[in-house]
Amino acid sequence: MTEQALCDAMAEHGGAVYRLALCRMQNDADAEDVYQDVFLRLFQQETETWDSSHIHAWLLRTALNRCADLHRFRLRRPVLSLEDIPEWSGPADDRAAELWDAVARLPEKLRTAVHLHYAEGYSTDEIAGLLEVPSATIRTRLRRARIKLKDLLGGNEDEP
Amino acid sequence: MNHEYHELMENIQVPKELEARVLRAAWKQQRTDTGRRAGRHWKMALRGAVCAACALALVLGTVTFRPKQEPSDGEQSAGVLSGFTYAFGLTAYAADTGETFLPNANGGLAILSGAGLMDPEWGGFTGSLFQVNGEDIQTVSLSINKGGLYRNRLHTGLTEEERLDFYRKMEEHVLPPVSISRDETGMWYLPELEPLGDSVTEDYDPEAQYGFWIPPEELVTEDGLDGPDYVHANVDFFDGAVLTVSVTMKDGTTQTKDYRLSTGRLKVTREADGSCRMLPQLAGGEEPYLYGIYAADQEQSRWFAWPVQGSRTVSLSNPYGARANPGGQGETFHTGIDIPAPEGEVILAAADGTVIETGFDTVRGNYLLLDHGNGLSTLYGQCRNLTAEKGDAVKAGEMLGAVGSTGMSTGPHLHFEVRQDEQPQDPVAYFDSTVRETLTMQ
Repeated sequence: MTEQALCDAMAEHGGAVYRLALCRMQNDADAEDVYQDVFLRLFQQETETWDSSHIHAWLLRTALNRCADLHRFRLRRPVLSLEDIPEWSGPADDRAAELWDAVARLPEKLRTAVHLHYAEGYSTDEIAGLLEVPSATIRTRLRRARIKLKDLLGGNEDEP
Repeated sequence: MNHEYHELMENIQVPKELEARVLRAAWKQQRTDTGRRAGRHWKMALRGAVCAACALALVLGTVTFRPKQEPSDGEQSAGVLSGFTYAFGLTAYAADTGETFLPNANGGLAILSGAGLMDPEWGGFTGSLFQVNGEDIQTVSLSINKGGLYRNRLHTGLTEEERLDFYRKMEEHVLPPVSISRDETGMWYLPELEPLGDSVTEDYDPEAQYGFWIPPEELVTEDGLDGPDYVHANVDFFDGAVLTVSVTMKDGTTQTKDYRLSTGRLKVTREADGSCRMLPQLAGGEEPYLYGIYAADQEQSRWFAWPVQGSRTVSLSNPYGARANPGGQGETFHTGIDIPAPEGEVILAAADGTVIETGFDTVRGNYLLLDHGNGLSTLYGQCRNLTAEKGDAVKAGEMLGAVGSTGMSTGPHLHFEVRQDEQPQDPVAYFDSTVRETLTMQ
């Protein structure tokens, strides 16, 4: 891949990669390392025939794999609070902080499914393809995640 | 919840430095790879990481073409047509957006180092491009007293065959190895680079793009230099060089202009639509910048001395130009720069001139207007007191007054304004590189 293509890819997909890494790692320095590693790996690829969605999926899958590698060294995972994210540009909002925190406390598998589905807009089938598990499993994970979130957020909502 | 989570994530941005960091790492990786595998040689197209992060503007320089009203010698007056001589100069243009970069009134032009190539075999193609612009030009001669020039031909809309053909020529070392890229519409394009040596004379083509070329033996190739530093070190080769542009008009007359080049971190601003605009002024420590070459017409440019003793600071909080009002209601155009200095610090005349006006108003405080002839004037505002009087002839560097905070102001500073034909100009463009290099923006 050329440098130009790398720039384009970072502009187009960088946000998604960084957010996924942040959601998974719960640590901004780790997320940056994953981001760098993933894009350097992309740079090594011959991507001439890849279209944008192919690159996107490749990046997310590679990011998840890199996150898993790094995770092995962090058995006790701290939770990052929203106000500690330097790149957070949204309003200071208790509701958002609570939601972030609740998602952060979900078990890893559920969290990944929630993130891909809700933040990146992937369908259950697409997530299944990305994680190489059956679609039904993803649907189950999402359902369990919704129940847990409802619980974590105080259960005061009809539709979590 | 789903919508909320999506919105929450949308508010998380990639850290600003991260893209540049990855590009630097990619760049290093590629250099090591190139050493190992000569087959990937053609992929080694380099550019500053910061450039790349700025949508890779391929910028061509264009400098002013104001007709000269006073023909100064026989050679030039021969070209007079209804009171004007033909004028020519160089022009700035971003190849990817079609945007033109207007020169400042002082005849200065910021030439960006865009998509370039540093190659041990072919030499350095700085990506700093310019065009010659003017009417009724027959032939153009360019020469440079240091390094050389190259021709940049942009090929767009490449077919698959053309693309493969270029790749083959690069691998066969017939063409310098540039990267072939794709624009947003998916069209392939590449710049074809052709070294021209230190001078070239040819028929005028208004579309011809020329760049600054470093011969292979002059190329800085030290290992250990990081991506952008490496590009900067090579661009710096042209600091202080003189580019001579001669044109022959259709009526046989000739004109020549010398441009002195200086290099540095030129300030860029990002427009609302995401495009970048490069300003002919140096960037402050934290400001976004592109490394480029600044060309100044030696004859036309008029340089000022720095107007405040004991301060080399330009205020960043209220720079020259339009800025949004605090609170977000509308915008104000700041017609000068603010130079913060302790109260009582001496204000100096920026150039020889005559004091044509002194006075007080509630916004500018005590002010003084100095006329330098040929429509150029400078204004000094917020003065605590003035020591020069209306009608005084002053020399550059002579004391005019003392720094204060007498108008609408939050602290002692000099409000310094430059006007050409009553129009405010960016004052920073009127200081040559020896002054600009000493300035800090805060």
